Amino acid sequence: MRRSTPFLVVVAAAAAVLAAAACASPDASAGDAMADRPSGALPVETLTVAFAPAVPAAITRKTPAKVVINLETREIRKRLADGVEYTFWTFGGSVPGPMLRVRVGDEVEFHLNNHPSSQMPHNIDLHAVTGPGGGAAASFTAPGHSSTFSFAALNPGLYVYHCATAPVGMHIANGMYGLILVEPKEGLTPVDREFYLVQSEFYTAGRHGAPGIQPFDMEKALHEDPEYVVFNGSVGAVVGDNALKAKVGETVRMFVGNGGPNLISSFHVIGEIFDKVYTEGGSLANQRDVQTTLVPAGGSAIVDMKLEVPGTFILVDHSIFRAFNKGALGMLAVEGSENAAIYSGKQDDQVYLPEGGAIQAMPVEAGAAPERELPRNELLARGQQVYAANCAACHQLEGQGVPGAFPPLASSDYLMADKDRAIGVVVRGLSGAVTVNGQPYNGVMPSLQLTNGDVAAVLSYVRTNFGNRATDLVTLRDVQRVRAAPPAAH
Amino acid sequence: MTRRVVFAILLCGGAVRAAAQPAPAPRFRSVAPGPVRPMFIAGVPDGGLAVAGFLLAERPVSNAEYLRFVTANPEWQRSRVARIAADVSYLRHWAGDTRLGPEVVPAAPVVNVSWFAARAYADWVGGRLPTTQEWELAASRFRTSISGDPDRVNAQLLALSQAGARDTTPLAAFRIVSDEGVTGLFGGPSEWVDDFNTVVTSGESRGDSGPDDGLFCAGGAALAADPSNYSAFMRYALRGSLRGSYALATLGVRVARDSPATRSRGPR
Ligand code: HEC
Ligand SMILES: [Cu+2]
Repeated sequence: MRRSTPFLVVVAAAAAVLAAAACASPDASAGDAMADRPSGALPVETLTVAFAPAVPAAITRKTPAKVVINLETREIRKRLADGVEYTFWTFGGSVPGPMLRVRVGDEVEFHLNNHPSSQMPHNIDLHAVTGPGGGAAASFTAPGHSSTFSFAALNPGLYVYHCATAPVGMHIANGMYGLILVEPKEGLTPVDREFYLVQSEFYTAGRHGAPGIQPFDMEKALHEDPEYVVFNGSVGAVVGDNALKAKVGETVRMFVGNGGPNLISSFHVIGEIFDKVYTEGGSLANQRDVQTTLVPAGGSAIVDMKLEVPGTFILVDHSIFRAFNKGALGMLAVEGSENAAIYSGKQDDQVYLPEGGAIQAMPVEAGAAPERELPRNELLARGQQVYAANCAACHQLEGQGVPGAFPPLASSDYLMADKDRAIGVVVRGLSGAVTVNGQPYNGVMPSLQLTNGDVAAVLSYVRTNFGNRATDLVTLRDVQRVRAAPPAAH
Repeated sequence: MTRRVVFAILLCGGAVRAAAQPAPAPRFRSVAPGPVRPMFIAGVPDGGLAVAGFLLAERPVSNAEYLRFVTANPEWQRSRVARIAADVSYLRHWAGDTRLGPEVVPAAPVVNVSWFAARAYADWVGGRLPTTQEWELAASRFRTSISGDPDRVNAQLLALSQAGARDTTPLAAFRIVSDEGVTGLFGGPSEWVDDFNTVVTSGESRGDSGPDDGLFCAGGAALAADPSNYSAFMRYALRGSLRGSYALATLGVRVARDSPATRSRGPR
């Protein structure tokens, strides 16, 4: 069963043939890769890996080396979202696994060490490997054992690696993937900062946000219907304090991978344009000025962008419900001075009245019954519906919000401190700096075109749910009163 | 007398050094004959392979029972065992050759035993290891015991196969009882089967299906009888990664025996 020996022989033989052919056909890339191999033994170095969002340092070597990589597979329980735990199957104890960086022409000696506490055997298929299974069969390793195999890095590019043990979907769904960069001979064009980002999905038995330790759900995986879509292994891994950080004027490169197991990512940075894209992680910067780039499941992309203005730039999978409802949201926080010539910020805000100044009323269905105060249980039931339809997209299903972007309604001091002010927020919208539970927010909540009855219902609902303990409800009359009053300045 | 000693071991196993005692008699449950759809064997008829009924121990072998085995058979003690019969992880969770130590629960399933050792134990108690098909047959008997909804059985067994999502205290798996009264098939350590090395996965789980014959094949979906039975996939993958000398912290032993009816018909 151990295939490493024949596999190595095959690679070595193929390499020799290709190296011989290289002179005759200059574009045989594999031959190229091997061409500058010195005849003697290669210098040996042990690879230093980096954990997301960090990227290993660029390679300064100008000649090939024998690179020794040690990677441990380990099954560990960690946070997937606030209050939600998952038993991840990992490379190197983290999701994604560490980023590996070698140079084309290197000989890689790979040691896969499966921790004794593992329940499962694991292996590794590196898409950077030329050879059957990408190393999978050669690296198939029982718990408490270690396998070694070697390969030559023939093609430059950014490659996914993942576990390929049966059932492969489950090993990937549990977190076993990462990226290996094979630098071209001349290296990549230098940039000021590099980041490592991997999108992937999780299929938990409980619904999104259901607390506690969540097992993998095979049915949901088969239906490609994940509860979580995340960057770097958990909800919020790249937001707030963990946001990627850079400065105005810098050039930033993101090595973006997609572990899948199922979804294709439409990777987009809100408010930025990728100056260069190495489509699908190939070695050629083949596209300029790209808004959204596809990252295939089991594939990658490299994006470069120059940062011109400061602010928080949101990273999303632009299949947008994944971003706002399932967690596929990250942040790039850029510091520096404003440049009004490039982006002015809001210059003016005026009421827009397309039909000549008449007050715009919500179109009320003809014959709709006039609104009336509802009994408590009907009011709260209606509030729950209004919440799910109008608020959950931003404030999330359990009112927990999104750190740095949408403040929580759950146990919100801002919400509970002043009933009329809360009514005003929903009726008129809210923008500018606010502090909720000690955290600063500076976003825009649009004014939502809800009827007075809906406003009363939804606020009664949120003020008596999600850990909020109002004793009184919000009545139709309260809403009418606030609507009639002039907006308070804040 | 025997019972008193066992009781003493159960109570304070860490401190007790067992004196040689007779082999414990496993408590067997009878597993009725039936079809099994093996994961990776080509050419299986639609209805599955017919597997004869047999006896399977109600529980996996415990640390306390295994301690009696190595006490009576010193060649199976940690420091004496031949390296080709058990690797360096053999019984490494114990405190010594014939000492469990305070961390080890005597009644919990023994782990870190090789296939050679598991077979020797089974032989000592007058049994044998179950075959893969027998084990899978016993593990398919959860129609009524685990879930009100037969359609959810596979999903529930998968959840129980995920260590992180279940109660992993040493004896918790004994609460998971098959329709036929066998405990610990799910929710505890995996278990050796006699023919673990005939169903081989190469670790390459997607394509290379080793077309040469029905027994050598990958953990690939191409040949799998039921690609949605993930808990079975997990077991087959684990078996495929093993060699006879491996001792794993998540792998234990259970004893089987031919059923009297089968036996009277002569050797199989
Ligand atoms: C498009 C996204 C979005 C939607 C939809 C939305 N909000 Fe907001 N909400 C925000 C943002 C952003 C803020 C913070 C504004 C700021 O920073 O000034 C906010 C602030 C609030 C606040 C005050 C801060 C707090 O956390 O207590 C309340 C109350 C609130 N929203 C209630 C609601 C209710 C009720 C609904 C549904 C009827 C709703 N929001 C729908 C984005 C949204
Ligand atoms: Cu794996």
